[in-house]
Amino acid sequence: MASKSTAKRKFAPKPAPELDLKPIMNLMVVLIPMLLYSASFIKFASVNATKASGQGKPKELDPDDKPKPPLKLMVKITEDSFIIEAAALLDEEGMIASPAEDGSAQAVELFTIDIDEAKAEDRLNLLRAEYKEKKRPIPESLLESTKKVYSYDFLQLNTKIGIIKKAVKNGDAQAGLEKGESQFDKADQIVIAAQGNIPYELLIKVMDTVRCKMLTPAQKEARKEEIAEKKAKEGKTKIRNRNKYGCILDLKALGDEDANTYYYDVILNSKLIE
Amino acid sequence: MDKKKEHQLRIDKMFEDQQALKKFIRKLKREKATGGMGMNSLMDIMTILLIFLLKSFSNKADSIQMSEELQLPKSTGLLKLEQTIKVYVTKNSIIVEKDSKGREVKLQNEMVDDADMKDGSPDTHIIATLKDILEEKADYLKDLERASGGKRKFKGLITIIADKTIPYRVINDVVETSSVSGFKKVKFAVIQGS
Repeated sequence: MASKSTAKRKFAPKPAPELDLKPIMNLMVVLIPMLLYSASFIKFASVNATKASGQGKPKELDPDDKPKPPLKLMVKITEDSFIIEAAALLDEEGMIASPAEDGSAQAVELFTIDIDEAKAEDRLNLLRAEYKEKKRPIPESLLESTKKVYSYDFLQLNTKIGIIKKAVKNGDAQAGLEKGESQFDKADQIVIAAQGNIPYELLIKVMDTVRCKMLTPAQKEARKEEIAEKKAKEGKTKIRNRNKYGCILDLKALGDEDANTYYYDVILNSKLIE
Repeated sequence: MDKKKEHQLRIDKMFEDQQALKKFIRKLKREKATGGMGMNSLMDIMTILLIFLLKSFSNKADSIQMSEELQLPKSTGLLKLEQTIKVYVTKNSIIVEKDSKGREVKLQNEMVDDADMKDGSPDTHIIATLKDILEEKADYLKDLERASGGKRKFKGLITIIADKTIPYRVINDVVETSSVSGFKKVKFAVIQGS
């Protein structure tokens, strides 16, 4: 009996020796807070722009070719409005653009969009709610700059830019030009000019607005539903719906009748508006 | 007799108790040897966390330290930040990243002092110190292009990292200065979002 039990004890599988994990644990406990502290969870991106050069190199042209008049599309940001200018004549319905006949290429004011302080109210409420949660008073400067930036009507600016784009395209089609050709020189450039005291945030917002097509609130809702549906069907968690410039892709699916997602090169004007 | 029996009984009981205690102690010892703390799952979590954090640490190159003086605006743009010369425009100063002499242009009430402008006049739209620094950088990059046999092209790209409340006047001066110094293509750093 006794011998059996000793034999049992002798040949019984020994419990595996435990690794001494204490030093590793110590290391990890220190490393993880350190890395968490220094990790940034904000995604950065960039917005491109080019500086308008005072005297650009004139393009090489055939001597017989008449130089095309530049479109000179420009958005001016003033303290109380957006002013859209272009060296194009719109017909009465605003559907067809054509260059001035005398070739003077003088930019004319096409639209003015005034600010509306009531527009900023939604954004301000969001900000107030955010700071109420933090239990801190809102900094006066932040309140002021938010009010300033969000009083502008970006959707309308976007719509008007879209109208001009469409009108230029209609005009080109009417003049019998092939796709991709235009009656205007630099038809895909937009110049932004601003007054000196316009905050940088507003400049970035305007650049975002003029660069590509924006969605109306109704379209935004439709878009959300569409994405939710797609997710449910395909099980994807990430759906690519913007190109690298942040322009929304595939607007036809939303029933947008002028479904051209347009893209403009943004040029910064070299002079401030007085 | 009764007394003796009782005594015997008590001794037996004590002996039994002792046996039970020994058994209990042995059991405790055995448990300690095999059980330990349930550290394995914790280790798993920590190892995975560590890997993820190290990964996020590795693309530190394009991260920007934000502070009270430097709050970036949000934008819908999704273009990636590139490795370029970076100019920081905070509420108090304009700084070029990795400037060997650590120069900076002070901002007063979010304005560049007239004395810092070229020829002391704000109408030139050129910030003298910034122009010096950027020209040095441009020369260095052009030298690098030459030395590498055109492999590391000088693209004239510059990233401007500015606080969202900075007035356009200052941004315009910075853009103008960099364009004069050879950096014609401007990238504005933003936070993704809307």
